[in-house]
Amino acid sequence: MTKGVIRVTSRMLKYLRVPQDDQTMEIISSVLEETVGLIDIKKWSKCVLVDDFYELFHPYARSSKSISKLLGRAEHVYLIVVTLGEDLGNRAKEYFGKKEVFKGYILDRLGSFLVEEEVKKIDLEITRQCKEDGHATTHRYSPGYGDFSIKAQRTFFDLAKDTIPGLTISHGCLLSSEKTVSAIKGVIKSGY
Amino acid sequence: MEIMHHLVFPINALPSSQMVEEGIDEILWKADVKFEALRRYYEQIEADVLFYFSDVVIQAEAMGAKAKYSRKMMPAVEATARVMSLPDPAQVPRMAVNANVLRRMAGEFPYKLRAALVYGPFTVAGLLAGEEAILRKLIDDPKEVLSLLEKTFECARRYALYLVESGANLLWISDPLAGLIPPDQFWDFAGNFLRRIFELFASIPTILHICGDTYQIIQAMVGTGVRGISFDNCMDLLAVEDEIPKDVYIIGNIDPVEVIELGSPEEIISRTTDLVSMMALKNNFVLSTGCAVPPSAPIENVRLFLETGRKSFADLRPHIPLLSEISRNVYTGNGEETKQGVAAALEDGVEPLTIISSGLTRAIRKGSTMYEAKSCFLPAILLMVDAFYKGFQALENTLELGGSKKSSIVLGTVKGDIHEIGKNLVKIFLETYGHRVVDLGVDVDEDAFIRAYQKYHPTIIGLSAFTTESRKEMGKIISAFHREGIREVLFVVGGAAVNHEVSRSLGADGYARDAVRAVGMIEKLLQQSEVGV
Repeated sequence: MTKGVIRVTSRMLKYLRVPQDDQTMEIISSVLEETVGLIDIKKWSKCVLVDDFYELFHPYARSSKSISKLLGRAEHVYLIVVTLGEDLGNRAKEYFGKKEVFKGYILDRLGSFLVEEEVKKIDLEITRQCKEDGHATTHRYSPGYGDFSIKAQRTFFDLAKDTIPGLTISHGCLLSSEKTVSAIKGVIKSGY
Repeated sequence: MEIMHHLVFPINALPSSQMVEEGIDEILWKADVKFEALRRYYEQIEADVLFYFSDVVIQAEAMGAKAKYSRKMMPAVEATARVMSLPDPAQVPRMAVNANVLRRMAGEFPYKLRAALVYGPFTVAGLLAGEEAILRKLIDDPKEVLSLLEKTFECARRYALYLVESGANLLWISDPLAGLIPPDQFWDFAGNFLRRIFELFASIPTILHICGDTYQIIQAMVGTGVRGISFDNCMDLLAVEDEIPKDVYIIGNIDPVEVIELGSPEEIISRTTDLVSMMALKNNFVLSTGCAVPPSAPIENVRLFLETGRKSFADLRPHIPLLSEISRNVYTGNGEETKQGVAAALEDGVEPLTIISSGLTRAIRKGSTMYEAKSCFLPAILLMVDAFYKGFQALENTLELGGSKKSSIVLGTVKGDIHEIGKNLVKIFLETYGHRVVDLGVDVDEDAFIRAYQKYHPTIIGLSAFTTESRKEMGKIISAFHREGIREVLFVVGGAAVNHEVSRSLGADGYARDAVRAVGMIEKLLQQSEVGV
């Protein structure tokens, strides 16, 4: 679990697309501070053999051309789940309810930005580690992209639910809290 | 500048043909008949600018084109000119008729503005040489076009001078074909010629009207030195107002066909009031139509438009400084100042609904037009929405609950999907536009939508879906309504999983890719459903 000081960065502002006047920047800073107090980052990851991956994610992995293409030369697959918890989304809803739409929206966008940043960190760490071991990696891919069914999130849920208490899944296979990302990343052994 | 402040008038005077027994073909050739038609027409309607019943072919015909006349239709060019001449307007019978009519109008209506409506050099060149041919020659033979334009310019100059000497005290140039010139060529083939004419008539008000979408040539139009720009009804005046200098009039732009000719009295009142409530804060706004009112438009509709416009101006005029301040504060996202402004306006006796439409909502609508023009991003609009609500909260106790709301709309994220921020934004934007919105939340199935329809009888149901799986539900919901025999409601769809193509395949009536555009699309659908399109 990570929680620390998060500063307003130019990348964050570019993502948020906010006007950069003093008044707005003041709101952004206060919303960011609030966000840091609300997020409860939980991560789960696991490395499995590619055959086990296909087994675990049957039938969605085998029926996906994108996955076949992505993992064509991979021997292992990393499975990743990151969530920020429920509080952020609930607070955003409260703001919408109070008609403080800007704060609600920014809170929501910051949630999307921060969960993506956390996934990126794991992604980079896997890439770095694999590189050290002399392996290459594929890019990251998530259920719902291309023809990789969103229903694959059911498997992520089953695997990660014990590590991430409070994680839920809807009958439409959406992980909750809303600021939750699941992804796979293939590892290609050297010599291929 | 004050001469045209908050005036109201329809473009041209074609419905005056209903005031006499003679057909349009006779009206155009007989000064007595034309003047009598105009006199009766302008006695029935209180227009601030008078026209002499002009037609687009007159200059082209005088220069050699062959015109076709009929009793009920406006004349049209039948054949382009074989031989071109540069006429003396006094020797052209129909031009002499118009001069005669203007002289008599000056006697009958001495204190009114009387427009010398002349057609622009490019439009006349197009009628002389053929519209397609002249546009092609802009690329193939630009020199020949320029040479022809020198002649049509001279004809326009002479005709304008003749009409002004005969009693017109305002020069109006309509140049409909100029709107088809590629924007980067507009100045050379239209703008510069128009500038030369307007320069010669600097002592009287001058107005330029170009039909169609003129967003890309606004600066060139301003560069002609004209004193007023009349905008087509396809233009959003809130999107152009910042482009127009304060000493140039923004004129427009009620739809002359859909509203004035075909609209119900309620629609004429609502569209006119709405336009004035948005634009009256601009001192340089003049209320008019977006093009000429057709000959067959009911005169009572024209009169209702003028009366409504004048009353709307009168209602707003005393409060314009306060309303402008509210609008400005919402636009810049200053919630506290907005709240204070609303309190001050209430104290000043401004009607709460006027504060909403001309102060609060105006800013949101302007923000939305800027967003659609890619001049700002969504968060900037949301700051405005927050300021809107700060002001709105100060008003809530003064409003009769529900009494002022427009039609109701039901929204929901479809079964299997829990994403809601986009839907929530659509709801909030719709509320700022005065709609009653019933939000069914997320993960909503077809039965819940049908129950909501039976309970609230919405005009529109909005379905949101973020994933490709959940978008299948949209089709199921629409089919379920059809199965139940419910076809009166319109479906709009949105969300990350939907685009125009998907929307069409689902059988939806509308799609928008974001919350701001969704409101525009829904407003349009509602207008169409009102007029039965």
